[in-house]
Amino acid sequence: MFTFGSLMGLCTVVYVIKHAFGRGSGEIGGWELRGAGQRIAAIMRTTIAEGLRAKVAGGFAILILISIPLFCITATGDGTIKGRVQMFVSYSMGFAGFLLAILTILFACRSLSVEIASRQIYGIVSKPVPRWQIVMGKWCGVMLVDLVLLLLAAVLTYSGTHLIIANFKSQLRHDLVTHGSLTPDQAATTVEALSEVKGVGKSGMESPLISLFSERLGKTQEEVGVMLLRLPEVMRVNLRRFDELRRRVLVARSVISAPVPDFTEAIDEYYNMLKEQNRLPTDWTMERIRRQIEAELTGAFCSIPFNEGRVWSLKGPAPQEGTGWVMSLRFKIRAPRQPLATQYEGITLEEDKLLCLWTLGDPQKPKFQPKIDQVPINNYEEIEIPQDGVEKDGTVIVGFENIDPRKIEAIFDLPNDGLQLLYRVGPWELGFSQALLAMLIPLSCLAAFGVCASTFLSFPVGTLIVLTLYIISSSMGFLADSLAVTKEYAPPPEQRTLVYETRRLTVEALGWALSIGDLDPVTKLMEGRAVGWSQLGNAAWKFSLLKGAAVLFIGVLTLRRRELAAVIV
Amino acid sequence: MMDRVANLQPVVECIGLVKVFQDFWGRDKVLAVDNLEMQIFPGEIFGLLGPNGSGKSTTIKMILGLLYPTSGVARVFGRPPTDTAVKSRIGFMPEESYLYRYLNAYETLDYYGRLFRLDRVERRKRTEQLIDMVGLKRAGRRPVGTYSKGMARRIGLAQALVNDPDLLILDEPTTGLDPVGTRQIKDVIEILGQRGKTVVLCSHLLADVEDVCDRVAIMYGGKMQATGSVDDLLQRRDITEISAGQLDEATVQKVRQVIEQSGSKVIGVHHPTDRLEALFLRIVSQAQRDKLQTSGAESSRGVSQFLGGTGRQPDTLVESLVEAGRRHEEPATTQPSAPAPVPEVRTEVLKKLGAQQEASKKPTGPVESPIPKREPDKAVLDRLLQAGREANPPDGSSDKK
Repeated sequence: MFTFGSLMGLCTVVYVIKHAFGRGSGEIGGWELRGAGQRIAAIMRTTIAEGLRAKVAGGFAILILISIPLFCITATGDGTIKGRVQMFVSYSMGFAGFLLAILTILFACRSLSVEIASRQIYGIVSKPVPRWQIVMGKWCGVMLVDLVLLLLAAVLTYSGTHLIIANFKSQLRHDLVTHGSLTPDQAATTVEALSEVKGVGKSGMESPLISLFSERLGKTQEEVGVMLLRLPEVMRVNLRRFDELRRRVLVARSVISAPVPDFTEAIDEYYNMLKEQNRLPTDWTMERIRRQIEAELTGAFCSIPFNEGRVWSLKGPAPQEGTGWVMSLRFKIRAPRQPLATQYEGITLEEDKLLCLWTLGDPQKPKFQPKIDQVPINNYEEIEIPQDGVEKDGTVIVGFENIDPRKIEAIFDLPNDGLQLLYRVGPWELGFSQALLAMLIPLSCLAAFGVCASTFLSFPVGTLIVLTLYIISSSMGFLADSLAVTKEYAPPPEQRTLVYETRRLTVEALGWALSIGDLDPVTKLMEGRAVGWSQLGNAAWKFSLLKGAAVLFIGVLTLRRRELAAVIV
Repeated sequence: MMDRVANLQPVVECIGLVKVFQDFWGRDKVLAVDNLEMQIFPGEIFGLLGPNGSGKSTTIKMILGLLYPTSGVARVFGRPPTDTAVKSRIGFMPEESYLYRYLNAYETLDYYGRLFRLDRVERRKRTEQLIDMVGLKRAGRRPVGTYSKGMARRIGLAQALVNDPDLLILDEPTTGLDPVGTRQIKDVIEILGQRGKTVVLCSHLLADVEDVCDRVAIMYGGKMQATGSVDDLLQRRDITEISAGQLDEATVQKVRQVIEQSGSKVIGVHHPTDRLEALFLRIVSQAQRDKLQTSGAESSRGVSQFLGGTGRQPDTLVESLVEAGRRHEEPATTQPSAPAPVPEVRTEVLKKLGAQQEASKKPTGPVESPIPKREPDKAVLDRLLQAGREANPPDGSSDKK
């Protein structure tokens, strides 16, 4: 899909641009391309100029200019430097995305409707401008304003992030001098060294921070440990969190999900066994039986009962020698019931945590000491894997054992994102750029909806409708839940009524028609995950080039059919 | 004119054109244009007349592709009005200037120039010339939203001319314009007419149409009521107008006697008054020479060079007259100029004294109103009455002569 889709999209874009800006003639299905570029650019420029001078875009720019610095000052997160940066990035980019969505709706919905109502459109339509170029010009104008404001938000967020880090470093320098008894130069050297820490983050004296500080300051590790112990506790925690921030947030990481095996053969085998034993339910269809078997097999594969284990092999890229290559295992464990706090053989088993045992490499000959840990349930957690824990071809073998004596099953939602391997693909700037592009995709789709609406609806009506559609598309999960058409509520196919099917089809159709993006770039940015070029290409093809173009096409057809000087009597 | 154009392909052709406006539910409510047959030929200056609601603007909008005919066909340059190739040859000035409020005059014209794919140098040249022509140079950097109605109409005219159109469609072009602007529009129309361009003028200001149009059509109730050349439609064959230079009373009496001997009668004898338009233009011209400042539109700077004008306006009345004289001497070759603000003396008419039945010629200079429309000059009437009393005294002294 990516290769074909992207190739098709790329060819179309290249063809259109070549002929739109070239001197020769060219057309697609009778739609003249010659001179299109200049005319579209002219309409785009006027749309932007109108938007800027009408203070629509200016108002939103001011909101961004005020809100993002405010977030930078007020964001605290969990009180650590990592939490603060994550919250700031999440709030500022999330708020900018929301503002831009509203701006896009307002700007796109007024683009043509206001010109038609005020008859300014006469000035364009009476000129040699095909109507598809008018629609495209308006869409491009809206998108360019979006792009400029998104860049403004990006610059503020990027600067704000670095300002928070600079403040933290300044505070650390101060604490190192006042509490750690270092000279200002030594404090500066220590702070500079923070950006060069390599390897897996560990607590206590095993932390790579200790060895690096020791090396830079010319002190023993014990002396450094004592010096760090004199720092305020908040600062000590923040030192570790800052190290995590560098490696888990301010980075672009790619993701490999744990594979789910193909159960087809197992399903066949199980089905035949039941058939031979004459245990097949007589009132069930074959599909229903097979679906049930598949659900049970998948559930069994993802569920790990007490005293059982599972080994996963995830293939990542080959590690790069000497670069402090670090991979992370990201997982979320769910439990069928809540683990309550208890004591077991002198060990305190905490509430909402499961006691687990992790191994790295071949379970028969593990490379490292197995790690026993109490892992919070229903939260995403990360375990860092050092370079020597990765096979030369990039394979990571991870073993998990459920050793919690409370005998609660540990469930990894493998078909979704229950267990993933993350590895660095580039600096944070790469992930940030990809997130910005990913944010533009839903805006492009929304702009297409708005411009299309403005071809036949007045500004207030169009805005109201597109805003409603945007709210519905943003809350499809809630809608599906409230209409009880999610998997959890789905009755067996035989028991489904017409009313249920109608509800389900309505939600599915709405979801299909109104979805404007599926990349969730802000969350990824907050977690240091890159969107990825292939995902970007797919989403751009699906939402901008297919859905956006289809919606714009409807707008063009409407405008072509519309009598712009018609009077309803 | 009709003979000249009869064999040409019409620039605008309407065949059985019908436009019905509907209500919200799609029910037919208003028959705006009813089976309209109309042809406009190359080089014609065509006036479309009619009262409000007669279907003029609806017809224009169908010609421009802003409305689609309910039935019938409209063709422009032999092609459908929605064809972009056709639109590249049309200039349209709508009945109100629907401009982008936040763009200034330069940006506005540059924008429309881009829509015609004019290159940057040409756009800049035409923008400068047109803004100069419509007298908005001083206000050119102000947003057009701050313009008065007349200034907006001027920029509306400029945008209609930015592509040097082969067909210029003007919908109520002089509404809201001062006499200078009105005169300027007429100049543009005349110059474009001289260059073989076709102009469609849609108006209910009859004097404007009468001044410039070769042929007019009068619409009422969506139907064509009359069509023909201005001369044919306006000529009153039951009255003959004679203009001469200053005559003494004796000569007037002689002329009167000649007329009465021929069996006709003299309706009136008077000195023609100046037209208010000419007086206004003269005053503004004087103010401009005195370099008085204005924040509004300035008086005309002539017609843009790319439209065929000289790009300057004569500064003095004398120059205007010289220019006007040149126009008459070399109608086909001279560059167009600003109008002569003084009515001309049509001495050639005097030579035809006595030949009352001969068809009169259309004035070649600024048109004067026919005699019956004029208010009688009371001074002349008094003199005539006095002369009459002297010629026929109540005591019968005339018999002694």
